[in-house]
Amino acid sequence: MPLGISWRCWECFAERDWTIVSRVLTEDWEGVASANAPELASTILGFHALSDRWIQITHSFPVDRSTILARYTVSRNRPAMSVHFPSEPGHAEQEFAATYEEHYDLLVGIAVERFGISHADAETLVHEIFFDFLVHVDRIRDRRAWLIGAVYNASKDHLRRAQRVEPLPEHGPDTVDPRYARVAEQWPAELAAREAFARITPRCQLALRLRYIEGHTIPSIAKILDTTKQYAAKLVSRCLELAHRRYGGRKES
Amino acid sequence: MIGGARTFGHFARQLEAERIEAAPIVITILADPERYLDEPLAPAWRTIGMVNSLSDAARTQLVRSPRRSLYLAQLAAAIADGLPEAYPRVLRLQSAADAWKAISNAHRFASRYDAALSALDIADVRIANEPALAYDRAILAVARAITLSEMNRLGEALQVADGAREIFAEYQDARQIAQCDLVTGMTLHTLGRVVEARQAYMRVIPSARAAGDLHTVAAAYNNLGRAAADAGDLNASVDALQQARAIFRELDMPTETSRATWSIGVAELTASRFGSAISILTEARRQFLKLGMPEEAGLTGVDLIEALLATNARAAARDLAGTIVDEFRRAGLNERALQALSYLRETADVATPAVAHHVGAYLRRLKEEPALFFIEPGPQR
Repeated sequence: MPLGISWRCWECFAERDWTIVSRVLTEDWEGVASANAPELASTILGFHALSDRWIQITHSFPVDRSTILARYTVSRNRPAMSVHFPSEPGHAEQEFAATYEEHYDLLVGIAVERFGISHADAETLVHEIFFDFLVHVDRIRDRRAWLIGAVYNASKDHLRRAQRVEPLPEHGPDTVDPRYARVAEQWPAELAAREAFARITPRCQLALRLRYIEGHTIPSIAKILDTTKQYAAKLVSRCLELAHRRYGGRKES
Repeated sequence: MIGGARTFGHFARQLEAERIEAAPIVITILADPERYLDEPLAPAWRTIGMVNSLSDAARTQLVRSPRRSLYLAQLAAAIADGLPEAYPRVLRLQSAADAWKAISNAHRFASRYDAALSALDIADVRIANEPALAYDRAILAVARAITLSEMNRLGEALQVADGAREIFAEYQDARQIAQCDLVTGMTLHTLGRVVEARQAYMRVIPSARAAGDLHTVAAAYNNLGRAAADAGDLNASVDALQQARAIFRELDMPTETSRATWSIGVAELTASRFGSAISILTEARRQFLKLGMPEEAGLTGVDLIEALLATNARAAARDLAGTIVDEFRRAGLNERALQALSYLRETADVATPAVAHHVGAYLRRLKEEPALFFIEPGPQR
């Protein structure tokens, strides 16, 4: 098994969800103090830190098969961000923290008691709702009503999705996902590709993403970027060449 | 201690700090947004604050320049789709969906409806698998309903707006509910279901007022006035339009204030209160000219000519028609429009008000169909 981590854990890394990774680090892996978990999770997930350090960290974890994501039980730990915090909190910050404190238990309670969602999933949903709340906070007049509406909607949606998912057997085989069989070798290539992509122009990023990640046709790209089909075709081809050059580290002519 | 409420509080502050940092950068970008699409992105720009600020700038540029708005939104989308993964996934996806919605808006304002729908599809895909983002999906649904309504796909528009309204009702978000009712009203109005349209507009007013959204209150009054006029209830129409105008004035929106004044003038004209119509339309035309809007000034002028002809003020009607021809020519407006206006000037001595009405209707249709030929009115006129 690569790096001694079960594939389900790799799935969690592949999702790059700092909430989950932080929690897994805190609860399942010995030797990671809870106070350090968020920073570590973010270091793992951080765009600029996706490098050799990532490999080093994962190599060093004493992980066994029992510490898989599917089994983690959620304590009252709340996830944390790895951002650099100034020391003096501001008014908006205090206000937001107060809203969080006031409603967190209520919202988790609704998801758990009214919708029968597991405590772990309920907490994840509520954290995500708070992030969305943060985006819209300026235009929300009744915070409580908004948050309750959000947890009702999210819980219903969560249950709808859960019906379409078949759970893994509790004691089933925990084999390596073939996609990650050679992850250690693939990772540097992926990092280099990401780096190359980040260094091309925004127009190129849009064109290549639409064409190769989202599978749009050239006429569709032309329509979305408001240009001609001929120019869109030329743009995609030129941007691909540029990305290749960046990937290969060659200088532009 | 890091975690829980304090963590979210800190994160709120971080987003705020990012927006503050982004503000001067966005002002620089505004000067020539297209240029920045063809330069590699500075790593420091890869923040949610930057994406939010660019998407907001794209929204404010919509009326002034849909093209500039599109470039800003494209820049926002490129940054959003490549945000550092240290941000929570929901925030990355939410900001990407918002940027793609801004792209959609820019296309819609330029009447590129298929592109607008494609951009909304992309936005929807970004957040489709996020249970916590139902509110954002409903916001996208409102944008879709507006686009469908403008595309004349009215049945679909009503359905989509209803779905969004249901979600916003669960969030008890009066402001967004009002937006849904406004779209529903406009769609019903276009369908000719004027009674239901008026009911929808009436629903908008208390919700938007409760939410403190005066702009939407004014828009609802404005549309209510037009719907009432279409239903032949001219007194109600003038009352509603006057309310709209008062709010637009309060909000310091001169263009909308002038449009509302114009609508009041047209309602007075339809009610055959010609004296009042002449004074109100003269004022509206003066405001449009002051704002540098020759097309609107010209169209208001044609309505004014209709009122002048109704009071047999033929010399004034002829002079005004000549003035409008000159204004249109100076502004380089459509040749066919000039042809129609010239016809009005030449026939002013004998024309009935219906001739001016015919020319006005032609000019309004010409905005939608620039190749439309002008056909002189038949002898019955």
